[in-house]
Amino acid sequence: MFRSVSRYCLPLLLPVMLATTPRVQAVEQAAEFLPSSTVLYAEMAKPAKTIEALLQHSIADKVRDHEAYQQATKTPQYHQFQMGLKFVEAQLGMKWLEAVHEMTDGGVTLAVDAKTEGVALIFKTASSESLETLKTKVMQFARQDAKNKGNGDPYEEHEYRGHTVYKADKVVFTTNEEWLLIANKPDLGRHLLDGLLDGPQNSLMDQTNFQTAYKSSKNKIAWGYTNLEMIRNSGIANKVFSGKADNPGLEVILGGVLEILPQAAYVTAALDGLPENLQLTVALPFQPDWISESREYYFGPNAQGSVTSVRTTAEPLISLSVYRNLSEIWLRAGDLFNAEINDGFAKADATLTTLFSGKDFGEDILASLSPELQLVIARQNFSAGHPSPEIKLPGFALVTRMKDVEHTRPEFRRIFMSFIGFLNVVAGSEEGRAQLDLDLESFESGEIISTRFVPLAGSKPYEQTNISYNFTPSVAFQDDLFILSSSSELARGLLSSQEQSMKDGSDTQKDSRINLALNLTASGIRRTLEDNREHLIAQNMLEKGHSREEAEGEIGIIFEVLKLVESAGLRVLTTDKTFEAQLKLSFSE
Amino acid sequence: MTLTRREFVGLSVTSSAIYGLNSKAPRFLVNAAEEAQKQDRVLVVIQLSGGNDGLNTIIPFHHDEYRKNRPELAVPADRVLKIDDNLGFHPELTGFAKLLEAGQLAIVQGVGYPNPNRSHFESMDIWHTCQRKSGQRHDGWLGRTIDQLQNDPSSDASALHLGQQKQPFALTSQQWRVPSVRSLEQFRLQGNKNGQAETIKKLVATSRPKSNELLDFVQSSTTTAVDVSQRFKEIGKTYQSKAVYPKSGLGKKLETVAQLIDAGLRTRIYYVEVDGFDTHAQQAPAHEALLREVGGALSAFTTDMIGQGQGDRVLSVCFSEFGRRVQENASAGTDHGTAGPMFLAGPMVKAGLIGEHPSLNDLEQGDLKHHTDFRQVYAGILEQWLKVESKPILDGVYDPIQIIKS
Amino acid sequence: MINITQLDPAQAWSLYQPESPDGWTLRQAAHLYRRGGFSANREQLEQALTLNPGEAVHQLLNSAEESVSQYETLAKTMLATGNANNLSAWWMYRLLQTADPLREKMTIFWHGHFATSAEKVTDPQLMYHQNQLLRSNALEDFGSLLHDISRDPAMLLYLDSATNRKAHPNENFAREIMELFCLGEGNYTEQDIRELARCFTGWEVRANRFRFNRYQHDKGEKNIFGQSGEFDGDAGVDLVLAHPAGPEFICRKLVKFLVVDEPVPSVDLIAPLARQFRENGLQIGPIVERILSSKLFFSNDAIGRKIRSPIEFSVGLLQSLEVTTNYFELSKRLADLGQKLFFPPNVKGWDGGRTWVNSSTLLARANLVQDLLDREETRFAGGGMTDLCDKHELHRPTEIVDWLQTMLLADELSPEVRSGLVRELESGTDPRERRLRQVVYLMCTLPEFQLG
Repeated sequence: MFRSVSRYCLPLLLPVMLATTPRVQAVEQAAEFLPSSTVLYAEMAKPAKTIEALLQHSIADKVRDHEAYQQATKTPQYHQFQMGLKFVEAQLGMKWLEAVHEMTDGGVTLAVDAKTEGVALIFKTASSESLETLKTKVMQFARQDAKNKGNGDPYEEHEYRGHTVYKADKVVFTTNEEWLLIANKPDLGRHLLDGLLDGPQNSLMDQTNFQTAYKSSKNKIAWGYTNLEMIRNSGIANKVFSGKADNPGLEVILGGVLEILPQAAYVTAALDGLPENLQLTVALPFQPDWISESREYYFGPNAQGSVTSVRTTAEPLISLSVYRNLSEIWLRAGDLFNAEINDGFAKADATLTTLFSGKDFGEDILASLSPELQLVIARQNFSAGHPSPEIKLPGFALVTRMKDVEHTRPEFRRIFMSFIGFLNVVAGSEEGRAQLDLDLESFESGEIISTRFVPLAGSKPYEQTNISYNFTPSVAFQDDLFILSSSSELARGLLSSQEQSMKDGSDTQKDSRINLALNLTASGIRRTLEDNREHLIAQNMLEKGHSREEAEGEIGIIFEVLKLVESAGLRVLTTDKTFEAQLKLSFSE
Repeated sequence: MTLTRREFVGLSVTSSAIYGLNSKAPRFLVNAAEEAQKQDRVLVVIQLSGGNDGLNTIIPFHHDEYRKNRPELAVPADRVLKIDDNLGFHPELTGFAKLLEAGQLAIVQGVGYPNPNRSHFESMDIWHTCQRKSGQRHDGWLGRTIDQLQNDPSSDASALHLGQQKQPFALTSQQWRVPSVRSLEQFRLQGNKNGQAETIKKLVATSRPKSNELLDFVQSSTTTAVDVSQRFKEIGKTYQSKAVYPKSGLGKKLETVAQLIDAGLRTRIYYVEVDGFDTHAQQAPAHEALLREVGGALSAFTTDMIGQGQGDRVLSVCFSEFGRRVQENASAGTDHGTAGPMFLAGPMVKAGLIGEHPSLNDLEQGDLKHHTDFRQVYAGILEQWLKVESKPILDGVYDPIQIIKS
Repeated sequence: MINITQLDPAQAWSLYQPESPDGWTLRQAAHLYRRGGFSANREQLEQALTLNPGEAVHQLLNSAEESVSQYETLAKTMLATGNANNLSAWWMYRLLQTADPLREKMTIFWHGHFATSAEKVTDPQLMYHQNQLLRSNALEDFGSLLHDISRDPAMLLYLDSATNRKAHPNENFAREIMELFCLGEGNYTEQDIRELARCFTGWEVRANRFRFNRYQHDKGEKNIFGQSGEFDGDAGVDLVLAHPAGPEFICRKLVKFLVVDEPVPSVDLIAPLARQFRENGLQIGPIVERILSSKLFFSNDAIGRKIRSPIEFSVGLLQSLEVTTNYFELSKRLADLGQKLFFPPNVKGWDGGRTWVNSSTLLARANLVQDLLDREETRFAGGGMTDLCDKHELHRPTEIVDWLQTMLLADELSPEVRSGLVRELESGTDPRERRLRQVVYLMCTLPEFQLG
């Protein structure tokens, strides 16, 4: 309210106000006097508090207790660093954290301006007094240092509207009340000071997009905004905004983002979540009707595609649930990729169709599956009696649904069995390769076609340590559920697990559609790595030329670091208005 | 001191003064110049792995049997690029059609060997070694060729294989190891210091008072190597290809070959492979893409070589381990067959069709009968192009096919 | 210069007993380690000087028992990957760490002699098994080595003898055992090959193991080298071992491997060794000991008269300068130099000598060293080149260059080249560490470093 009043009244009042006092009205935020041509804006509300929170975090304690950290504190470099820090603190007359607090109590802002092509750094400090003290001390120190080294005065002084503006190298800075303004272009610096002195007018805050976006900045550790429209118009990074990936891997991962980038006006990023976790959310405005037909595979018809449920199993490492219509990608390759890549698709199609007994890979195989896909990676147990490979890989499984059970189920069953037959023929032609036995297991209402290794004639189980013993491929069916797994053990685990809904019922999710959910579980990853500790050590010895002791030490650190984290996850979701990617790192208790 | 090959050839033997070298050092350089004047001819072998469908490459478009056996895969007569009234190129082979028109392509039809083997590996080994499985297979035909060609071990390798895959058996030699080239970087000194090469050259060229033959040999080889590296450094800056290479795998490989040849490397044989011809299902789009790749790359390469003034010394040859079955299968593909065409490209070839198209009415177990033994083509290449005796290399006497303009 | 073809054989192979200390120098000790191993660090060289040459050779032949279990653990994990490239890296590690360099050197000799490639034998387990076989027999009884290798699954697979049937005897192994393994061309007839091939019928590989299939064995009478009998495979091997041409063939190859690349030694020069080899029942160790402790070996006709193989080139550099590095990368790069362990180019193995050298392999040698020096994992005695110099108390540029010469080169550099290197070290604005590495790099590109 106050601001809108001020906007209209300000021009009238300005001459009067200027005559009486330099302070027109309380400017609260840097956005109010940053130029409207600002393309990138990033702020940190309370850096000192964040640092404090991190230092007091239980993770920090664990790091401090860690042997590797203890070792590091004994190095000369660390001592030098400590000495330097003490010196600075003595100069400032306060602890460094206190200094950070004083300097940034009202927030720090970094901005890039398109018009002047300048970068601004703005501090809102605790008070004009503390700012003045710190400024004086730092400048005194720098001047003394330059003098000691026989150099001239590092600061040029200029006057601008009654303020002393300092210039050091290419950077200008000045202070006003509790504000410290730094810029690498004098024009930008002047603009900032003008804005601060004259009050808000035609500033970044007047951009409607920014205003809308800025609402999401509250209570965040850090928040950022980029004006995509302005970048697009400037013509830089045209490739990014071309909407084409021309790389099948990139297309599957980022195709949807590439579709949005040429149309979205801005993007925001926000960091929050301490102390339990760290969460980074990147958001773009989004409208379902932006999506072209060729990218329907990514978002589904009318952008309503969504992954709804997920299956878990014991000791997961990674679970990736994603909405992607692979058949559409395959068939629309002509729209999505250039001629060379399409030639590659044509060649692959011939090979895959051969492999799938003459069934067209795009039209018959991929199209018979639901676009809701889940990839599960989980630790394998290698129960007694089975071969236990020296290098223990996790199992991989694809979980999805069949559109036409009656038709697809026997088809896939047959293809799978001939595939195993083919593997056996290949294995049989090579010396020392074990073959696979097929088994049909009924499982509640479902069935698993599992495989297990036929021991080689005359070989003992302990000799079966080759890496290929990690693979006991399997398919499982239950109603319309279809599982394709690299390990029969994992297929059983998945089939017996309960399906869980993706949505936790929270408000933020109510109207959203989850496009992708990735979950990494640290304990599963750690145990799988521990299974292979001996191999990791050997690998490290040969890769780094380490002795066994050195290698053990390095591998040990990896395990310790993994203990600090509980899980990491990524969610990509859309609503009717936004496209969001949420990255979350949860710390262990 | 970097010279392109042409400049190098252009210099007379007596002009060593131009190099600014004293009379003691340049003996090997003078030799190299003499050798370069004779200018060795180069053979580029392009292997089409997987078994190319010859019948859909050189197409008997009017033939009833062709249409009858290929209901799905037959290319309509109005789409083929006609060679004569009966035969035409696959429509995607515009590259080959262009070469033929320019008189730079020879098509040897119906090439194979007796008692054809339909296993990829076995048939490929036969093409590579000229031996059946029961025989002694210790080396390949090109390996035996370089055993005959190479007499000066200090120079560049006689043959180079381009690619990351396993080296083709054809290049296995009893005497020489054939290097595999992944990128041109291998021919450049990786030093991060300016003038590194010059420093090395200076240190190497310094005379050794207590020398011996072995040290002399390594000394001159090292100088040659540094020269090669410097030439390749220059290529990186100045090489301008005289043709636009397609961005395909084969296009890139042949462009590298062109750069190596243009840099004056004394290598005689280059070997490249393109895989994917094993088209058992959905053949049409895959085969189209492959033929486009081969035709486009080979015609660009030939044009480039002619543009660089190297055309007359470069011959390219394409072969595949077998052709494919006359009758298509139920998956719109074709299965392993027997005889197929070979292609030779370059301005020196005897352009046009060589031999008859294998008869579609007289098949052997559903396959085309060969009428030209691949070793006859090899014999032509060896005797007419590389000028070596073919008998010891092919382990027998084969009547050479006339492939070079007489 | 003496032509070694004109040497008095008895003199040439007699024990080298220097009369004055000048006859037993660091240069000669380094030569011994380069040939009887790959190279040595300074301590090892100094230690060798406290012995006389004969004792130093004896010490090489009787190295302290290796703690093999660490290599075996390492090998097991590498084998589990099923990738022979990793096995190649494993061997590089072992070559660099070994306490028994002569045995490793001789294992490489036999690896090239009984060449078998993982390109064809795809199961690295079999390659490892063969490697162990070669190692444990490397300096022992040639007869049992040959018997073992004849039944070695990797060898049988490599020479297509995995199924050798009565009706179609496979002549490959029979030919190679005579031509390449024992006798050399001209010492047998094609008829001998066909008959010997019949002896090996029924020798098979099943489930990665050797198996004798008596149903496929040709029990009939064979006639080999003029002798008749119902010989089986082992008897066939024994006939080859008893052939008079064998000892000279093996000894000639050993002399080429250990003493000189060229010229080809005369029959007379090899004769004393061949005689001893036959008389001692084909024991390899004593012949190797005699060669390494001989006057010829320590003479200027042998020192620096071999072109270093890529393995000698790389392992030699690393050992002399106490380097540890990334062995995966190292073994991968060795392919560009023309010698990748477990991947010999053909049945004849590596020819050695001048065939190691062409423009592409020489550039690969220089680039390998550059890569090694730039690599973060590369450490000299646990630190940088500066630390290595400090460790050996080297300060002045001339000191450093001379020390490097002794460690790396068989022959002294000419004064011009030496001062060129010293200049590199003295001048320039680069930090000292970089200049030191630059000098190592330049030294490795010199023709002198290619000779060992």
